[in-house]
Amino acid sequence: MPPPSEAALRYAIIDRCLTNPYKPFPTMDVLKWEIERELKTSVSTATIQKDIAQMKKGEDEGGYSSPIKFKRSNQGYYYDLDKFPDYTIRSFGLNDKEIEAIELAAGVLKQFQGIKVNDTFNHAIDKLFSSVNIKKTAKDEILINAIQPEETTYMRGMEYFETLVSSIKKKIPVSFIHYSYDKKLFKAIIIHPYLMKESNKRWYLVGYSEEHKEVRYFGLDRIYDPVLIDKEFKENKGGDLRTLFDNKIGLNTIHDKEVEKPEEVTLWVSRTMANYIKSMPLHKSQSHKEYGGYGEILVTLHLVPTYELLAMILSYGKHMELLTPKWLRKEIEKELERSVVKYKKNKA
Amino acid sequence: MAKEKIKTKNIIQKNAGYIISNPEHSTANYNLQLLRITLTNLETKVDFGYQATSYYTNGGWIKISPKTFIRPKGTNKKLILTNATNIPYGPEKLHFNSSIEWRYFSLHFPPILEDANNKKSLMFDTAEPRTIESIDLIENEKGDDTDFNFYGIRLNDERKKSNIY
Repeated sequence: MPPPSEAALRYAIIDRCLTNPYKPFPTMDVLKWEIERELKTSVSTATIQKDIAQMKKGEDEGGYSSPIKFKRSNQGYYYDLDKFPDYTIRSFGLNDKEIEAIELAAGVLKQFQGIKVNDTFNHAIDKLFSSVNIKKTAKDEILINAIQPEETTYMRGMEYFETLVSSIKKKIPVSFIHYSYDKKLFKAIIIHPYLMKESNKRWYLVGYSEEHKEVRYFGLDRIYDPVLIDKEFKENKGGDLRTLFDNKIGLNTIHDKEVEKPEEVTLWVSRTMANYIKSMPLHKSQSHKEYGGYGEILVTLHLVPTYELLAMILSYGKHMELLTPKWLRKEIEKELERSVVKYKKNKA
Repeated sequence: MAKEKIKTKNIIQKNAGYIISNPEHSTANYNLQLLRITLTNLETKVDFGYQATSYYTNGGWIKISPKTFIRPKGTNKKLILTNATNIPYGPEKLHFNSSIEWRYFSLHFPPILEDANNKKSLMFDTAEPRTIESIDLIENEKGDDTDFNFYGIRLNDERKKSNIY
């Protein structure tokens, strides 16, 4: 992620000058000197004037609604604190510990900046970085390099993220075109949207589908051309949707929705992988017990079997073996047999 | 100035139009699905989904004739395609790479919903605006079943209508 824009950094310096009780009413020359000293680059008076004008603009125009005034007698600038006591654009007077906590959170947020959810969001992160601690973020990128979350690659459909979140917030039904990877069919859907859910780095829109007459979720990568619809919003009456996915790994259940139910899944885990599985459970229902006394463990999960669970078990190869339920063990066995046949075929 | 003009022109009036989801029609084309029609004061937009097929090598290809038109039932008026999104005008073709590929595309025609607030059309040679019952969408009237022809696309099915926000 790039550091905050030069403009955002200049705003933060101007703000600091205007809130410095020891040097009130900084002149244009003082502002210029401070900015050039901090950023180690020259800046024109016209640029600073534009910065001040921009800071005075409302948030909808990318500004801070800063009450900046000019005092002729001092030839300097100040915040109109009579109307806005303690005004600053800097993090609302946070202490060092709080700033550090925000730095960490901002570092995590930068993964979303990479996927360009929307410009407003990027601008907000820009502001956050610049206002939290200007010295760290200016040139040396200490903060930027301190945290490296997993990179999120661009997923088709993310360009609708903002529209869909806004429709959830405002309770406006949405019409969109959906393409089913399985059925290889399109359908025009009208959804009463409730939630955006992330699973395995994919985003899903959850809501009541008029077409299906029940709550469904649709992958953003399979959604086209959403249009907001003017009709009465159907409220969710099915309880807290955020818990709907609690008993699953991923979303795609192996059984049909009508018969899906949580089952007890037992896994054997090799001594090589045991500590990894113990330190980061596969699911929140996980419990484990030692097996054989040589470091192997038996893991028990209580969840609805999904294709994502199946893929996860297979990803551990010889280090993980599903013991029960039997029907799922058979599924894995078949899957592995197919793979062996494939690998044994001489494709060359 | 020019920019401002375009901006104003592209604004859809609030509640001045509607969509029809999965409209009924009397044409069977298994690879091409007519999905949604959007009728506003600016245009008539028809959304399609096309699934490539193993019948053709590497899934085949698609294109749309620039002469494609819609014809409201009860009139002889042909409203010619004004724009196509995600599909090229013939003779240029969009070639698929395999039979599992698909394409969502839209065809844009002039508005038939001129009196958008009343959800009626002024296209008829009558003094009062009337509701359009259905339209035909024709790529090639004397063509074969590979042409994108749809007849009797129902616009008056209230169950499938939703006003645009």
